Amino acid sequence: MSALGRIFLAPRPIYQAAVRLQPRCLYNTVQGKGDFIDVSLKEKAPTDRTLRETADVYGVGFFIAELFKGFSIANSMVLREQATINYPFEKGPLSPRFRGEHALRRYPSGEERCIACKLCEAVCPAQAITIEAETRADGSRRTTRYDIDMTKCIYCGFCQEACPVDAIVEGPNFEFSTETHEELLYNKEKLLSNGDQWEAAIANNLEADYLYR
Amino acid sequence: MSIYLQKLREVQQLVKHHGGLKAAFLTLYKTDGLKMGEHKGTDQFGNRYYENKKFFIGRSRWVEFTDGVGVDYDASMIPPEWRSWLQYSRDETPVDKTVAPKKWHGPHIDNRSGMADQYVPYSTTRPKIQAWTPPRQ
Repeated sequence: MSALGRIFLAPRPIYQAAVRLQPRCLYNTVQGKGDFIDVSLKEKAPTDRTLRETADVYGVGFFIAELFKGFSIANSMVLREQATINYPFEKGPLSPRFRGEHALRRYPSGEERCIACKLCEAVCPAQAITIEAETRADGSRRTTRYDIDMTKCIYCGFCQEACPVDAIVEGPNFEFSTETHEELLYNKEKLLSNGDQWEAAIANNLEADYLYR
Repeated sequence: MSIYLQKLREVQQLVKHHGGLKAAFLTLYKTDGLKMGEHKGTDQFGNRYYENKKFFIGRSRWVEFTDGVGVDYDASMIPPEWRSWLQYSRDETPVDKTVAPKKWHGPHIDNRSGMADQYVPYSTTRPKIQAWTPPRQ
């Protein structure tokens, strides 16, 4: 018998007694008979193995077969179809009702819609909107200040629901993150230019959803 | 074995579709993936849009940003009409269904945060408080 075999086949009375006599865990949740089924692989004690079984056990270790098995699984994952979306090249579906960045819209003639009724300011639960109004030179009532603090806004969409003329809307844009806080304090000019820029997408969304409005 | 041969053939087709080994490698470097699809159109900035319905929704439409931006691409560079298509809000591409823009429609500007021409808030009203200048003696 080889030296290695003798080491592994040697009986270990101290170790076995320690296993048998270890105290029962106090925090073990399984009380009583312990009527669960042990599905773990039973390893034979080295003393009970045949020579062939011993060779199998050491063969697996020697040829690092389990590592290769793991690598082959990782390799197969590379060749499979991805389950993730590669943003920003691909994007997930977006509802026409999505509430993103705000925009102030215009009538087709180019006249701004907002009539400074201040309903959005009143309904805003985060009090993010500030409006001041004056009479314009032609006698119509228009805002002179329309500020939205986008960092206060909770994007609930109450402002666009309150608006009687569909002036303030939450467009489909959600890619307006900034590096500083102050860039998110939108004024009227910024909101109007948002509306001019996003009108194509906003009109498309309104058209898609008109039966439910 | 045949599945590996098929994969190899797909790689070959992908390289051919992207126009050679070097171009395919550059695309792979930029986008972390090579995909093949039908070219649906190009927007005013030169971004190219593709569709392949073999992929699931979310991956079946994609954009290749214009070569000029290199790796400084940003999702906000996609104009709104194409973005609606890319996000499955509409099925027709802006090429299939064009809407004549009004003259007040503004140009598309991407997210300028951190640039010299970033948005800086300012007051759109005249100040409510007039400063008092003390009379000179």
